[in-house]
Amino acid sequence: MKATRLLIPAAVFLVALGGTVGVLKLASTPAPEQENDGVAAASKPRHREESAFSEIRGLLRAGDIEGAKSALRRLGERDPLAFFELLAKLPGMPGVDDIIRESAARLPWNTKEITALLNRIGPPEWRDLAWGAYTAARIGTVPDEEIFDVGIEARSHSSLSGIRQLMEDAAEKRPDSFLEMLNRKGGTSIREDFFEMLMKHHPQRAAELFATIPKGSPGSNYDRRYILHARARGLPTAENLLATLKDLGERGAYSWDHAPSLVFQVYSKATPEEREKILEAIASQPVLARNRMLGGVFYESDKTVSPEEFARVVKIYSTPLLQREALESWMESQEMDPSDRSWIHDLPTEKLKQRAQEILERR
Amino acid sequence: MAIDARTLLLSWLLPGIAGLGAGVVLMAPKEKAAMPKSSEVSADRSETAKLPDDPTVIQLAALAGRTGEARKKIEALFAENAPDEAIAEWLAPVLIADPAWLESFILTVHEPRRIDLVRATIWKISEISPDAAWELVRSSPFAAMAARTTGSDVEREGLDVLNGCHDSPLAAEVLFDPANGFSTEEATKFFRFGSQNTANNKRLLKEWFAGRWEGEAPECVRAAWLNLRWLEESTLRELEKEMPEALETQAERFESLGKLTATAGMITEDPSAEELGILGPEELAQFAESRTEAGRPLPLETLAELPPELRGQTFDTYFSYLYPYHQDVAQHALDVLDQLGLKRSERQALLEGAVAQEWSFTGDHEKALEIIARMPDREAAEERKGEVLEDLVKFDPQTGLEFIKTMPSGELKERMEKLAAEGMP
Repeated sequence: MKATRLLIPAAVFLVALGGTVGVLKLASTPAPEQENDGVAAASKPRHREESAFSEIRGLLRAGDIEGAKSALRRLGERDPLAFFELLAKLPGMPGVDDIIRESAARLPWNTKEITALLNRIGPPEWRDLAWGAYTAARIGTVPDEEIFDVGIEARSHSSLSGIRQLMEDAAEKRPDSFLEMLNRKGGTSIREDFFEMLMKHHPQRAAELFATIPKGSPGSNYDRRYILHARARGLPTAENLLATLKDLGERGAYSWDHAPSLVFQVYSKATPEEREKILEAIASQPVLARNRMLGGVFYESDKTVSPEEFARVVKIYSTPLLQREALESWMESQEMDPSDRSWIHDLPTEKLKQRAQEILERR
Repeated sequence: MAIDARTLLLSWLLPGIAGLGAGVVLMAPKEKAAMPKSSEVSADRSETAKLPDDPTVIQLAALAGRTGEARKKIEALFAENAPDEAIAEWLAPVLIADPAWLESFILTVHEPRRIDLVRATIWKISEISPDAAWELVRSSPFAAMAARTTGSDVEREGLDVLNGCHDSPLAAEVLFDPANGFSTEEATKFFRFGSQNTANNKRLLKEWFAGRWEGEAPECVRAAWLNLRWLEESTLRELEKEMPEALETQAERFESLGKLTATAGMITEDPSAEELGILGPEELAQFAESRTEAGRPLPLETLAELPPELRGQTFDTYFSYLYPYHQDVAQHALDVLDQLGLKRSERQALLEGAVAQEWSFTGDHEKALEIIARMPDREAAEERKGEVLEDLVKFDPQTGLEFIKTMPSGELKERMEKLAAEGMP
């Protein structure tokens, strides 16, 4: 009996000990593996870079941005695809531009998965950066058209991030063949950007290349209008204004749709000397064309037209009615000191001087 | 055996508790020793350390799942009465990491403020991660409600708050899941411009096949069909096999439009009236405009062969884009338009379009007035004539006066003479 009395507590002790150890072991073993990403990660198949992902997340939770950046860099070198998958979930990570550029250039070329991956990058600056590096890395080694077809798929392609560097390169080195491709493909607004770039490298060829845009190229009539704008602002001179007007046909200078906008494009960017020449060019047009074109001088630059300049411009209007209207809207846009009336003496007619006085009296 | 209280205590409970305790003690150091000394562990340890008060550090920690500090920021911002946008800046990373938290958090916000604050946050999230914006809507009934409610920012009505998120593959999935409570009208409107994502287009077409829209398919279905045809034609062909027979006629129209328009590249031929006949009025108008933009307008003769209810919308814009590069086409259309058996209103629409282009582009008042003289609607013609003359007299009074001399006397002549006198130097 005594032996049993001692045996029972001993056995109970051992059973309790074993049970506790077993239970704790069971509870603790899987824990290190699934800790960071919790339930979601446990129920999904694990990513091949899961440990790198949780390492980087852990570093960020600890506030160690430099450490996370180094780990991101290593990930980008090893597995650029996984890098972008993770990056998409870390908007605001500072100082990763270089890593993005380098990793994007290393991505496998031209697959639907990569296009989708790059388009999932949330912050537009990062997306543009990645698209730019991804496509630019192929310039010169892959045909232009193939790069173009891939790069045009970049989300929010109004920023042209997937094709901008290709276009810049082509505008400088092979404008003819590239424009031929754009014409063949059709579409709107990209040709305008291409001419914008062309004006930086070969402005003297703009008119000639403009003439090659063929009938039947989708979007071409829409584009021509804005290409002319790009040509005008790319070289803000009187001579270039006349050249663009000439490409609108013999009555181009009369066009209410086109001529004032072209005047605006050149005049707002022109030097004071060129502004004088532009005004001379306008003054030499037939009356209807001249009066229509002058509107472009005031499009958005009302505020930038000084009183002395206004006096010279307003003189070119052929009628007192248009002169008066121009004066009224110009004065409306100015923040002028009603007590300073010295400029009024420069106005070309008595009627205008009188009107200017009246307006100032009323203020 | 009689078991008294003392025996129970000594033989069973005490040894049992001792065994339990020893087991815990034994396991505790073992557990620590078993863990590898990886960076994960060191990170884990310092994850409890205080974070520096740097917004970037705190927001990134929140994105990575440590949201405590960011939540404190949010509390502080509320305390200092910060605007919604400032709070949204901080709510965004927290909710990207833990979207379901919105449900409990929102109860702590003063009620009139809730919708606007959540909408500002959805907008903020949509800028950084469109997928995360949909995750939030899916995870939080309040977010779904706020997404469909127009708050005090009337510029961004209802689901427009998710306008940056059309191309996330989650868009259609979330909007068409009945659990999220969006109506067909809301989803239809949201996708009116289509999506560039294959998953969304597939879902839209599946919903159409399943009968979500009765009768004429809405714009979003057509856009989904055409986008999918453009993005991944093989997927469309596969999906097509599930299409109910009743929808075939409509699908054929989408196909025709796709065939007519998707020929990326130079346009070299004009389609026949039979080919165009399968399009709907909207589609035809859109197609006609794209042809004009390309400098290959559909011949007026072909359009005239189509039934009036189909061709009607194409005439308003027929002359747009023809000046200055296709004035020969414009002239030809003007020459033939009276001989094609068009309705009176159609001729009127064409001539209105022609005169607007002619006067605005060439400034040739004689030609403009000739066109006006041909208008079947005499009242509209008088009005146009007055407008052109007024422009002419104002911008070129000399020429205007010469013209006025040839006019029969009347109210218009008097008015123009007066205007011309004001304009003459």
